[in-house]
Amino acid sequence: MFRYIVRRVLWGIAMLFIVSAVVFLIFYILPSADPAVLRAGRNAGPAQIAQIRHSLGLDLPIWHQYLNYMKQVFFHFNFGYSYQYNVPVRQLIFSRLPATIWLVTGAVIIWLGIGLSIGIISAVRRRSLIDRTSMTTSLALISAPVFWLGLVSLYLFADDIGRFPILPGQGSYAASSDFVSRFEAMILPWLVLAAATSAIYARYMRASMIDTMSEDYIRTARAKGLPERTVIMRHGVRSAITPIVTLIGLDVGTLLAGNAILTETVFNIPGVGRLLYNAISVSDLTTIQGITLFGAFFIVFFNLVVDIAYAYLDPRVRYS
Amino acid sequence: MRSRSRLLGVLVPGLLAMASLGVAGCGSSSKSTSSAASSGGTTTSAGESAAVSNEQAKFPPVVTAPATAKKGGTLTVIANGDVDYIDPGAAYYQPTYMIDLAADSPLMGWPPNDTAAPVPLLASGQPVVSNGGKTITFHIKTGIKYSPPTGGGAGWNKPVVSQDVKYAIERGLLPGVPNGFVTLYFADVDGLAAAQAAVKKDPKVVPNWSGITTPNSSTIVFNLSKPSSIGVIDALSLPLSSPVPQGYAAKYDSQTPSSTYGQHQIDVGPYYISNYSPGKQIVLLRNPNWTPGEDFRAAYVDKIIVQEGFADENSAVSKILTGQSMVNFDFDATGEALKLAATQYPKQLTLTPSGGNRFVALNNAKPPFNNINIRKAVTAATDRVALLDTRGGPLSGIIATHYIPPGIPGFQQAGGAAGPTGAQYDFIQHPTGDLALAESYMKKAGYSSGKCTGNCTVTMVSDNTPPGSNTAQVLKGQLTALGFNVQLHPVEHATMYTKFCSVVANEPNICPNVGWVKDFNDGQAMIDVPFNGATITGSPTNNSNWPQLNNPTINAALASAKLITDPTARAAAYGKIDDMITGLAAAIPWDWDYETNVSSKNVLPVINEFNGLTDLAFTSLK
Repeated sequence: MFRYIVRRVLWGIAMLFIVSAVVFLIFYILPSADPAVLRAGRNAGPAQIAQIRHSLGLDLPIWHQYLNYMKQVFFHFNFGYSYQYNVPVRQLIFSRLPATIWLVTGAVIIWLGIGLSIGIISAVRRRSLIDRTSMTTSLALISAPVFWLGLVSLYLFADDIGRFPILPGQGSYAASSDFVSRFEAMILPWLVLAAATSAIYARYMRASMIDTMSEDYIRTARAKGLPERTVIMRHGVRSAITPIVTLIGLDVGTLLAGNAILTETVFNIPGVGRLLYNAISVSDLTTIQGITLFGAFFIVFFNLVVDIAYAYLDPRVRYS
Repeated sequence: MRSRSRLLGVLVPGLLAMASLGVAGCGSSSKSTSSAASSGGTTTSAGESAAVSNEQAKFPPVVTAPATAKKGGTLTVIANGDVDYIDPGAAYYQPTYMIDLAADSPLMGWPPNDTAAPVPLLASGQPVVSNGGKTITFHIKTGIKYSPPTGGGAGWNKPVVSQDVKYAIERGLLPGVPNGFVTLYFADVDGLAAAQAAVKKDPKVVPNWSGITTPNSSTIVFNLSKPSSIGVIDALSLPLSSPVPQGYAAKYDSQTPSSTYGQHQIDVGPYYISNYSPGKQIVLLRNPNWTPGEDFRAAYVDKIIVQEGFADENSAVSKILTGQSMVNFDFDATGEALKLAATQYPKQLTLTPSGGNRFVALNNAKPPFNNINIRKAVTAATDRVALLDTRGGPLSGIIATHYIPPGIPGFQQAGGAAGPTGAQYDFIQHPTGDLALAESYMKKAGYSSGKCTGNCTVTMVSDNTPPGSNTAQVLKGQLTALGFNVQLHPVEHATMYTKFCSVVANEPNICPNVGWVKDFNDGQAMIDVPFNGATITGSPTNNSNWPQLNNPTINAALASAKLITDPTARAAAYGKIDDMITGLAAAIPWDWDYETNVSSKNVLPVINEFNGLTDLAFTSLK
């Protein structure tokens, strides 16, 4: 197992290098805007632009720029300077991470709780009314775009513009100052982000449970006289949940990487996704690059965590 | 989309080029005398703003605080994006000036109801202009103190001195403080070249600008090479001249690649920036070291929070209208949100002429729009009412018939709201378009059918978000009716400018989402840069003469008009040039827009007429 972990870590580092090179190439060889002109402002003269280009190191050869950037990242944990906000990218990302972690954590708890429960119940009561209703509902939620769901929920339930003003609306997280108000502000975003994902997990769990519950060892467990609840939860769910664990790792990693961009934008949550949206809209290349690298790290890390967890969940899995 | 963040000042490298050609700055009789200049403006905004539409009259801005205004409370300013620079030395966006007008004290300032000329703010009185208009002397108020610094920590406990104003202006030359107008409006201040050379040698050290002297701690003198005092005095109303003490700021200004002074700034206005989280929020608190009455600002609310990130402007407008203690920041109410405000919350909406225009730039430098008849045809065919509808219709502005907007000297002289008259202007006289007239001009251009035939492909690069993208789509449909095959490329706003429309070599045939807004109330500030040929050559990668108009007659007329000091003659000259540009069909003017400001029910907003935005130093809560 130790060797496996070491090998995965080394592959992860190699992956980060590859991602950084690809992102660098995309944004510096095919830029959507001129970073020096953006930094200089629209009315700067050629001399000023040239001076700024020099101060940002943009007049160096591409390979030199990349080497400088990677040296700064790996040896100094320095992701460069935001052209838009004039602050270090690392500072920007770290200031946004707490909001994204809040959002993702709450959403994960909700979608796991709802998705797994419904999946288990649907599998156990296959073809019942509850099964058909939950699967139809899940299909609807999977089909609904997150941003649409978010806007509709605001227009229905937000306390400032909603038809039934029961929950804090857009911008309330940014305006909140304590745990309780922050919690309240996140309820709608959690529900919106969790909606589609819980539906997906419900369907996965249902399919996985149906497979597992038809296994011989389940029949054996029943034959031994174990209570049905024990058969389902200790024998059925434990096996059925292993593919779900893989999914969780991917989902959490990508959400922390900025994939919650739509939810954060609709609800104006100052997270990593929102930062990425802003950076893309103003071609703030260093910020885009920094977030992408962070995102790649989260995905690699959480995949590793999930794979290790897999080995403990399923005794048949052994890594050499 | 031309958002408020694009309502920039006029300071463009083109004027740098013109300055280097020895063109004198603008002049104004009230300030070009050798004695103490009067406080009267060169023109009256009241007379020039006669073109108030019916719609705007229903939602007039309040420009003075009511007698019942109370102190206290927290005002929340709802924002889409962030300021361009929190550092006042680099700030150049109008929304940023909302903050700077409350926190900073440049030498001159703008009370909300004064658009004619700036009035003394940090200065103790009007400047003395002497030496044939080449020397400007300011005396500054004494005993002015700095606020605590942004983010906390040790500040600066010495009072403001004239050397602080000098340093503030000089630091604008650093690449780490990318000020877009210092080398433009201060181009005639002696010693600029030497100061720039010093910065090139060491970009981390603020140079000594020899043309700016401080004979004592309360006097600052600007020595000019030309009698262009008017422009310099006007430019000293921008945040750049708000004092910055060298002993405090130098360590921040020496940082690379960018000065970090903005994140640690100290202010001298009635408010100071206590906290700045980029892209998230800005918090302004009362400056404990500002004394009420030390300048014309009132400062009613205790705290101002700029909350950023409201991407959906419709819901943001709804939030403001239905909520409490909120105003908008860097976005206008447009489209459905504007209609909602006008119909259901009329008392919470104000329409203020922005002092700007919007036009469709036709690239005069290459086919097909290097042909004046084709440009006239396209202009005649354009339904400008439909274009205005993409921004909210009559509530969002009035149809432009030339380029100088209402309220700016030269507007009436150029024909006012109706525009220039005469057969030679027939192509601009039909706001809903006239296809038959357009076809007649196409025939004059050699297309016997009245429509384009053969190679009729034209490229258009537009914003990729509404309303700019909507404007482009509508325009595309109208041009198609004339036989043009329009290849529309919607891109990000920043990309539209920095990769296409402002790059001479890359500019497409049509840039539909451009426009201009004044720096000051003067015709020069409206039409010199966007239509002067020198703008193109001065900065080919950052060009703001989007039509690429380079007409020797117009260039010469602009150069001459700048030297006129009599206000009546100056307005007449710029009005005539405006008509000349219109007559060449260089572009398609279509909107003199309003700033559409919304506020919550319990807010008593005061609009600063200078920039058409909410004046945070005069707004109060019920």
